[in-house]
Amino acid sequence: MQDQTFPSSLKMLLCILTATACLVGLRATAQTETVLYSFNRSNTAQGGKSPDAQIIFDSSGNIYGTTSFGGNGGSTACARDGGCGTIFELVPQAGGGWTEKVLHNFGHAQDGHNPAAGLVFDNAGNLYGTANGGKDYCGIVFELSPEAGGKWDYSVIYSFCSQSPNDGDLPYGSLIFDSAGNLYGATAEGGLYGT
Amino acid sequence: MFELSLEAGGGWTEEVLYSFGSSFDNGWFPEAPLTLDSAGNLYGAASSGGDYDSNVCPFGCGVVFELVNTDGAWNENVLYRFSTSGTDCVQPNGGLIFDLAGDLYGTSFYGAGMFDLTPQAGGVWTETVTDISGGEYSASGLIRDASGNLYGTTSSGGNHNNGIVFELSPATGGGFTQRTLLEFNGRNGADPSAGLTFDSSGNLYGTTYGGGAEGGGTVFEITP
Repeated sequence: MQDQTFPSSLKMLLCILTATACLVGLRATAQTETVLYSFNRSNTAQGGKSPDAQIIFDSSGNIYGTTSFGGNGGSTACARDGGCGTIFELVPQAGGGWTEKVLHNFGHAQDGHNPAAGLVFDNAGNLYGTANGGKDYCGIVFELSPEAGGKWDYSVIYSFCSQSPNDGDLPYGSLIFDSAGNLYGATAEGGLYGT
Repeated sequence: MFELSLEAGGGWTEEVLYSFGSSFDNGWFPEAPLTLDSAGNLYGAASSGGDYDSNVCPFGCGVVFELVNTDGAWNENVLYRFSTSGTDCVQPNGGLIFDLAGDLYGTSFYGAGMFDLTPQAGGVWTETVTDISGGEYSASGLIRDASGNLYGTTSSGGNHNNGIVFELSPATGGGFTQRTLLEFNGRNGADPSAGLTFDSSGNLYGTTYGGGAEGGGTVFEITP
């Protein structure tokens, strides 16, 4: 936890001095930062490490995101490469604080690995995202669907490079939906010209 | 640039709608997420390609592009090529946002700046750069609140060289005034490389790639 609030005693003193100073004092109030969750630096950290992407909220105030590394994907390739990454949820607790739930540990190869992009919800509450590793190291698009009992079903809905030779490769960015429910994204490499 | 469309019987079909790289001038390596306008056109940044200078931007200074769907065919228009002047933003790799007037805003990895692209008559876009003071390497792109304030991160710079969270507020008479909301020091996170998110109460949330009590990065909240 890190509290960077402007000292309240000083703010009060400013308020006592003049009304103008009071306003200045209030405007000068610094922000308060709270670290909601700290990831462990271990390559096999159960909770993942090195989140590289924007987080999103659901309507209940839970946070969803990805970590590029860490996690318990289980493959030796993951352990060797710093972990394959995770999809995580942070759930606010009644008494304060947040707990982490890992929704998916990336498992290398066809399962995808090392996501650098954030997640997007569809209207039905499914989550979509990309990972840079996958079949032939080309990257994938995945879907996570909520199931009864708080579990999530993970599936790879597309593997890049599968439409050789012109398919995309390395989807660094997150996805967006259009109003018709189609998903759009860009890949940093691949395509007709490899770029 | 690709599209995944849902099939009638379930499952998804991928189609490559546009391939970058037919010309270096039109941008290479679009790393950023895309932005959709109300007409269904897509906007994004390519971190390489465009104008080239071996010292300023050895892979090209990058471009901002628009992809327009005309009767099912997608064509690229380059809206702006970042210049080799040495004072421009270089190599943008974050997403873009629109303001209500139709300007496009983003951040650049090198040059540590915020760029504002304003559409002019005749399809030309003009650029205004705002320096992100103290920050270096912004990959975050921006988010915008209802008052028009812009928020983002830089992954280095700041008092501890572990990055900052910044706010850019529209100034009377034009331009922006910067407030640094947070200086990362390692213990409270380090090296944020992602954009920020608002909750419904106006608090800001983000991630840091490293730092924090356990050293593997953080999720943080900033309360006004």
